[in-house]
Amino acid sequence: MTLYLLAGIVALTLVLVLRKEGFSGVRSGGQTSALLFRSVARMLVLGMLLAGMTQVILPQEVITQWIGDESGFTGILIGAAVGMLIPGGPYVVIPLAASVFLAGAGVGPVAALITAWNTIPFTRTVMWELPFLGGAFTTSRTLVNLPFPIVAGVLTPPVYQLLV
Amino acid sequence: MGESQKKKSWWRDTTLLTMVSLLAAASLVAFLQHGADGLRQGGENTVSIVRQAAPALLLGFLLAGFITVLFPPRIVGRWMGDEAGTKGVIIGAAAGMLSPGGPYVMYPIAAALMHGGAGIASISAFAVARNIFTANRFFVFELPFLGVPLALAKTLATLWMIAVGSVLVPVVFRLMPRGAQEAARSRIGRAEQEQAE
Repeated sequence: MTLYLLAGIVALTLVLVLRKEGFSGVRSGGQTSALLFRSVARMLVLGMLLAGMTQVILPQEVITQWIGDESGFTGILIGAAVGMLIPGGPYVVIPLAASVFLAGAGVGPVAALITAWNTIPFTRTVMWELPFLGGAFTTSRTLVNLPFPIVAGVLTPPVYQLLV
Repeated sequence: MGESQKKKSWWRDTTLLTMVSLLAAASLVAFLQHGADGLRQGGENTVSIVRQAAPALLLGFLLAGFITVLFPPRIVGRWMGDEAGTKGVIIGAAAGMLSPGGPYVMYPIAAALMHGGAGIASISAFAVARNIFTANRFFVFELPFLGVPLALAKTLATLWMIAVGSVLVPVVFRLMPRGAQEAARSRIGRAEQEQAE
């Protein structure tokens, strides 16, 4: 589904490029794509190998066991740690968060889990951000984002109380 | 930056060294846990990750390339350069919240924008906004799976982080070593140079 949407957007930009600059525009866009690929390919392969190994070291069952039905501040810390370590896209993590919530985990730990997965995910950071945006940017963004999951875990429950 | 930059020896590339050490450590742990089977499983996982990501990655690279044609450096610089100030930050954040697809789309585009002259403030806003709130993720995954109260409460409790991140990330970035700062801006420039040689 997302892939078709993406393909549609690429097709649309292709048409816009053709209208704006003709075939030479398409060629120069393609060259930029190739240069981008050249500059990150080596890191991308290493990152994917690392993601593959991480899945071996930390299988999903282990991760779900960790969060259990902890609540309070410990629960928020565990939720943040789990969110940081869990590999996978939204189709894996959001349903997992929902099932943990249904199984009895508090609003705080679940919010901390999702926010940690959004802001300081281990595999996505080393696999994607580091190759494309470099060490200085990646380090700065990670440092600033580090407290966000905990803060989300603390702030979400009172807002949730207002909404239910 | 560009011209004065010499081709770096691989062992001085800290990003690459970090990645190689992490991979070595993870492989060692996998080997200690499961022996050779662990390593083979890791390899198999990698192949399936490559298969899964390849189509979207290809589209992401194409999109990033075309975007540089539609928005040449002059325009990106004016809209999202360091001189653009708050306007650049708002454009970056809006682009981040609306951008579709996963990391294989977002990071090529961010790298292309950075190469095209986008400032650190705009790129920070783009990346932080993309991480905190994405329209696509909210409507397709969070609302249906988490239910309205939880999805909405989590979003309201975290939305302000986009502003905080957009302001603080550039501040911390400027504290990084000069060489690392310039490397971030000239990754594509370096590949261009290597190809020209």
